[in-house]
Amino acid sequence: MAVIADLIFSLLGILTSIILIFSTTYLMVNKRRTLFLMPFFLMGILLCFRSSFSFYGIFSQKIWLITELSWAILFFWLILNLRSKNE
Amino acid sequence: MTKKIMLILAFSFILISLLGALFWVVDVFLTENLEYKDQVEKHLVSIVENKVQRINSLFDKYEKDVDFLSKSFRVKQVFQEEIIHSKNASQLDVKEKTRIISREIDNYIKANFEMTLEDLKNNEEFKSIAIRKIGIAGYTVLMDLDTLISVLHINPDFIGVDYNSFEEISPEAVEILRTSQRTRKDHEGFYDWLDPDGVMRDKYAYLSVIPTKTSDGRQLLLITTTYLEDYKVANLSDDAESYLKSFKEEKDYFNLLLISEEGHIIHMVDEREGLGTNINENQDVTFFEYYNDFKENNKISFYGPFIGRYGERYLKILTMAPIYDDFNDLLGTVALISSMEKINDISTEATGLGETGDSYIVDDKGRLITPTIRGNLDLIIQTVDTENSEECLEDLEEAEELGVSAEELELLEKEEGDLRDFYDYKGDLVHGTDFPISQAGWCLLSEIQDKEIIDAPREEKFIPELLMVIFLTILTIILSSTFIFYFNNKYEPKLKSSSELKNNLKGGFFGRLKLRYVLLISLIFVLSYFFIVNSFFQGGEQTAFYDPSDLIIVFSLIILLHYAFKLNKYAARAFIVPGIIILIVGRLFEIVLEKYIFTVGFVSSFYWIPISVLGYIGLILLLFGFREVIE
Repeated sequence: MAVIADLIFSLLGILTSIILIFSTTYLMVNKRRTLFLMPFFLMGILLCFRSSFSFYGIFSQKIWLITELSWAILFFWLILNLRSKNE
Repeated sequence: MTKKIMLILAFSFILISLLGALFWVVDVFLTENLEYKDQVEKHLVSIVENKVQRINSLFDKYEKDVDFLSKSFRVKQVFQEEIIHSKNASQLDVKEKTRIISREIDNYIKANFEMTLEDLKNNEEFKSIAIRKIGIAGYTVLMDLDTLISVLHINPDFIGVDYNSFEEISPEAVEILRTSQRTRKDHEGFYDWLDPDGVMRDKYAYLSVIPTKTSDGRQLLLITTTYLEDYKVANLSDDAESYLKSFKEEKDYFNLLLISEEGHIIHMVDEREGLGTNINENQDVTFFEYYNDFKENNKISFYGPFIGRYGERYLKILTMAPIYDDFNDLLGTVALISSMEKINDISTEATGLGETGDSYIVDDKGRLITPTIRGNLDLIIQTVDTENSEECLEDLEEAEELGVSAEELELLEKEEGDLRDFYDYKGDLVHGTDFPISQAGWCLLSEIQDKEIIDAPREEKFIPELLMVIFLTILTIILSSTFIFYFNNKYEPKLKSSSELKNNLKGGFFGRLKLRYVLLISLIFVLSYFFIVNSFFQGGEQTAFYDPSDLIIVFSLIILLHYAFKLNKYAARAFIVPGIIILIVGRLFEIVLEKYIFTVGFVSSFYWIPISVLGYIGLILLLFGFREVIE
């Protein structure tokens, strides 16, 4: 049961990362807004890493700290993008 | 109208929840303090009682097994078997003893590297190490390897004798010596020896070359020699041997011994040094004391723990029972040797003892006989002189005087507040309790540090408190959402057409707040949330920033929400705002789950799935929202 749960958890993460990366790339190409949408692209990659780490049971504190801080950096990037839109 | 009703309902719900939270705070933080000592006592006492019960079950098992063997027909038959002299037994015993003495001699020469051979010969301490009696008539001899002249001998008349001269009397003995001399290596062999009484006897010798030379360059040879007739074992049939071996292995004992009435170890399932020897003549003082004590009582008895062979990982326990024949005549003794491994495992279980709790066993002399959970102390050497250990040992003595078991006495005298405050062996103030193990005359002691007791009683209220934290989280979300939307609606004029949208003040209340206030609100929220969750799981006194990354993410998401509210385009806001809120909710639940795992232990990934799904939905909504921003 635990294996099935781990599999579902990892697969959902990979699926979401595929959707994110694919959609972002499509938008980047169509709308020609690469830098604006780059955070989502990187989020897709981060999700992929996260799924892999949990699948292989890599729970080192340092790795998780780096990935989580990366999320924070990406959200701050989004803040800057939205701020520029508001102005 | 509907909006008003919803607002009234929301505020009523918040009010009821606040009242409920107030009751909870009073219950957890105030009433807990009044009964915490009782809770801790019950907790510690139940742990100790449980451990003692399991250890007593082990001793019951040992007693049952040794009793079974003592009444077993097959075992009784062993004592009817022929007693023979065993070459194997002499080899095992002599080799092991030589190994120990040889190492002691080598260590002495290394430590006293300036001493010459002559100095060593005249040194009393060295003599006491090198010259030993082995068994009944065996002994050690120290010889110069190059000349084969004896340096030290149990018989002073044999000191300075050239053993080459014994070639005619015992050519085999001299050949063994010369082989060792030639190869400069250890050697062994059986030989005939003519004793002073004129009788030729079978002997066995093991020769060990002492690696370190003396300061004048002399290399020494240690010879340990014994008579084969000193080693008496029972001549067992294969069937009997296999029966005893199966018993020992299936019941998981370290060894099984059969001892004759005269004290000879006539059988050992796992053959080691001591087989065939007479305990009464043995150099092993510990075993001799146990055996003598057993002979006085002549009933099933437990002894130990004791050190088996040097370098063995676990101490050993001895269980002995007398064996009688059908006419009630004593045939001998059966002894089961068990390892302390299982008892160590039970004693050192840390479950329920938090981070500072400790549990260990002392013997009837107060000496530590199991490892402690927190410290690293020597076993059998270190005594534990605390109020806890003294109290327990006094109980054991009192129980013996009264003729009851110590456990019965403990239950009879049980008072309210069996917990005592004292300073443990490290000097820390602890709360502890004890329980005697009367079958072995030991005491199981357990203690927990003062500062940790605050969190111990929380265990009983864990689930209700967990539900309360989840409830508070939802409440916070509802509160803040209501706050945002209520004031947003109050200050946001009703929109009649899309053209008014452009002229309207954008952002709502939360969107129109100055950035510094948004930062302040986010910081207050994030820190408050952190402390609530941490206090719940680890106690208010042990709050620490183990994982700031989650909180930074929530902080950044709240600021992102502020800017999302400021967006002109409604379509973009419709995706981004819910997306961010879902992300925030997911993160808040994730923090709770992570703290739970950190405190209690790993949980199944099934708990992570819904929380992760929330996060993924939030991200996708965010992406769609940003797509609208670009459009």
